[in-house]
Amino acid sequence: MSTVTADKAPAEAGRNSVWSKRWERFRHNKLAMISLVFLALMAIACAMAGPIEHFTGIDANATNLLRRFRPPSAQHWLGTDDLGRDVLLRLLHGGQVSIAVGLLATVITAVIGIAIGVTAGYIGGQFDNILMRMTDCIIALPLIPVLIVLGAVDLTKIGLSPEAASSPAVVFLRIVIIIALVDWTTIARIARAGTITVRDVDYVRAATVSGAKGPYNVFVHVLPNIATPLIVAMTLSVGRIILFESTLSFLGFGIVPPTPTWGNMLTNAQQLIISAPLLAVYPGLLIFTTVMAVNFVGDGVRSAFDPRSEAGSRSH
Amino acid sequence: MLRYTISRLLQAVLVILVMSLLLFMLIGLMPGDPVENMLEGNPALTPETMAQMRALYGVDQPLYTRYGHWLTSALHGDLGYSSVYFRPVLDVLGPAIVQTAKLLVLTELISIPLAMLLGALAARKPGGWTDSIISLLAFASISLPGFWTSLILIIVFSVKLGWLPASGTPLLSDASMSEQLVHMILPVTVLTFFHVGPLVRYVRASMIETLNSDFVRTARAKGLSEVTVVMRHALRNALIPMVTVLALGFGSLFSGALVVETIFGMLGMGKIIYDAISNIDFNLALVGLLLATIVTLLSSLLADLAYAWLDPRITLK
Repeated sequence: MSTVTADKAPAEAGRNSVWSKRWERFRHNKLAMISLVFLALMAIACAMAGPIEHFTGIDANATNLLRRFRPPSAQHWLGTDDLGRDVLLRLLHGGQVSIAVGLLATVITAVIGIAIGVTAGYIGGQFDNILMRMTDCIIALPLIPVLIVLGAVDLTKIGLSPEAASSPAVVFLRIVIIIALVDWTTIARIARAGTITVRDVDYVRAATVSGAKGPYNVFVHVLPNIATPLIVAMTLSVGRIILFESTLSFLGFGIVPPTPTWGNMLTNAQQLIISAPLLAVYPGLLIFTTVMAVNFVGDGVRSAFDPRSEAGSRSH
Repeated sequence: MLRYTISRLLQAVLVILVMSLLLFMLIGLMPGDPVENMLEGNPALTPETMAQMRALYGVDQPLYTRYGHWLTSALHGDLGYSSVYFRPVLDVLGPAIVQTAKLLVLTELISIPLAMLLGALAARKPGGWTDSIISLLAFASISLPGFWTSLILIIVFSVKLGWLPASGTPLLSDASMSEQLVHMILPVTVLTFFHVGPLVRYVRASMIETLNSDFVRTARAKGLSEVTVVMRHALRNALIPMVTVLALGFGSLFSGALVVETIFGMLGMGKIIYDAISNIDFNLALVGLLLATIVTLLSSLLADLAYAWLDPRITLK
C-alpha cells in the first residue's frame, strides 16, 4: 500500500521515498552489505598504491634481479616476484586497472545496449527484427575467441601511429572498447523488452497523439520507466567484464606488462608454478573475491529494486 | 515446422556469410600480411621479390577482391594452408575437433545431471540451508576465473600431491582409454565447475515455478511419494526450457574450453585458434573461428527445434 501512496505523492518526495525504501531493503541484505564494504575497502586500498610508493620509496615497476622471490618481509609484505618487484604494490596497481576497466566498459556497454535496445523496441517492425537477430547472433558467439581476434588487431592498420598504438592510454581504451563491442547484448535485450511494454501504455500513446515526438517520449517516458532493470543488469555486468579483462590479459591479448593487472600477473605465474606457487594464488584470489562481491551486490540490488522477485527466484 | 526450419536454415547461412566477411576483415587487421609472415627472416629476399610474391598470392589486391577469391575457393572445398603447420587447415583442425568434442561431451555428461540434482535440491526449500549453500556455490562458479581455477588445481593435484598430470593430453598418441581419461580429469573438473553454476540457477528457478503449479499439487493430492512428484512430474517439465539454456551456454563453454586447453596444453580447437592468432596463421585462425561460430549457430537452431518438439504448447512461426 505504501508504494501506491508514494507513487501518487509529488514527484520529488515520491522518488525519495522509493529510493529510501530500496536502500532500506538493500541494507538488510547482509551478504550484499558486506560485499559493498569489501569493494569500498578494495577500491581505497588500490587507490593508495601511488601514495604508498611515494612514502616507502618502493617503485612497483623497478626490477631487481638480486631480490627475486623474496618471502614476505617488513619491507615487502607479500614478498617479491620473479623480477624482484614488490608483489603487494603490483596487486594494488593491477586492481586500479581491473576496476577501472570494469566500470568504464560497463558504462559504454550500457550506452550502446540502451541505444540499440530502445531504438529497436520503439520503432519496432522489420527494423526491430533485424537488430534483434543481430543481437541473437552475437549472444551465440564464443566470446573469448572473438575478443582475442579483436585484441590482436594491429591498430597501425587502422590509421594509428606506432607510438600512439602502444601508449598505455590506447591499450587501456582498446580493451574497454572491445569488451563493450561484444557485451552490449544483454542490456540491449532488457532495454528492448522494457521499451515495448512502455511504448504501448496509454499515457505514452496519449503523448504521441498530442504531438510528442519519438525522442521526447523516449527520454521522458521510456527511459525513466526502464531504469530499474537496467541498473540491475549493469551492476551484474561489472563482474562479468572484470572476468573478461583478466582472462584476456592472462592470455596476452589484453593489457600488457609492464602495466600490471590481476590477469597478466598470472601469465608468468604458470611458468613459476613450481618455484613460486603463491605468485599464482594472490592475483586470482583478488579477481575471485572482487567479482564475487560485485555479484552479491548486484543480487542485492536486484532484490532491493524488485521485491516481488524475492518470492520466486531469489538468486536467479 | 518444416517452413520454419527451412527459413531458419537460410537465415543461418546468411549469418555465416556475414560472419565470414567480418572475420576475414578482422583477421586481415592482425599484424603483418601472409607473405611477410611466411618469408620473414629470409635474408635472400629483396623488396621486389616480396612484391612479386604478394602479386602471386593476390595479397596486394583490395580486401573485397581477396574475400571474393577466398569465398570461391572455400565453396569449392579449398580452405587454404596453415602457414605454421604447412598442411591444409582441415587436416590440422580435424583431430582438434575430436579432442574438443571429447572435452565438451564429458563436461556436459557430468554438468547436466549435477545441475539437475543441485537445482532440484535447492528448489525444494527456497531460502533454506541447502538452498543457501547451493546458491553460494553457483555464485562462486560464475565468479571464478577459469584460468585461475586451472592453475590452483595444477598446484594442488600435480605439483604438491603429484596425483594427476598437469597436461590435458598424454604424450603418446596411441595412449590407452584410461590414460586419456586420467589426463582429462583436471580440465573437465575446471570446465564443469565453470559450466554448472548458471545451469543450477536455471534449474532451480524453473523447478520452483513448476513445483508451485497445479499439476504438481494434483500429484501430491493423489498421495504420490515426494520422490515421484519431484522426479517424474516436476523435474521433467522443468527441464524443457533447459534445452535453450544449454544451447545458449555452448558459446561460453567453448570460450572456457579455449582457456582450459591453452593452460593444459591440449591440442583442441580452442588452443589451435589461440595459437593461430598468436602466430598470425591467417587461414587457420579464420577457418577455426568460422567453424566454432557455425557450430554455435547450429546448436541454437537445434535448441529451438527441440524446444518446440518437446513442448507441444509452443508453435514456431
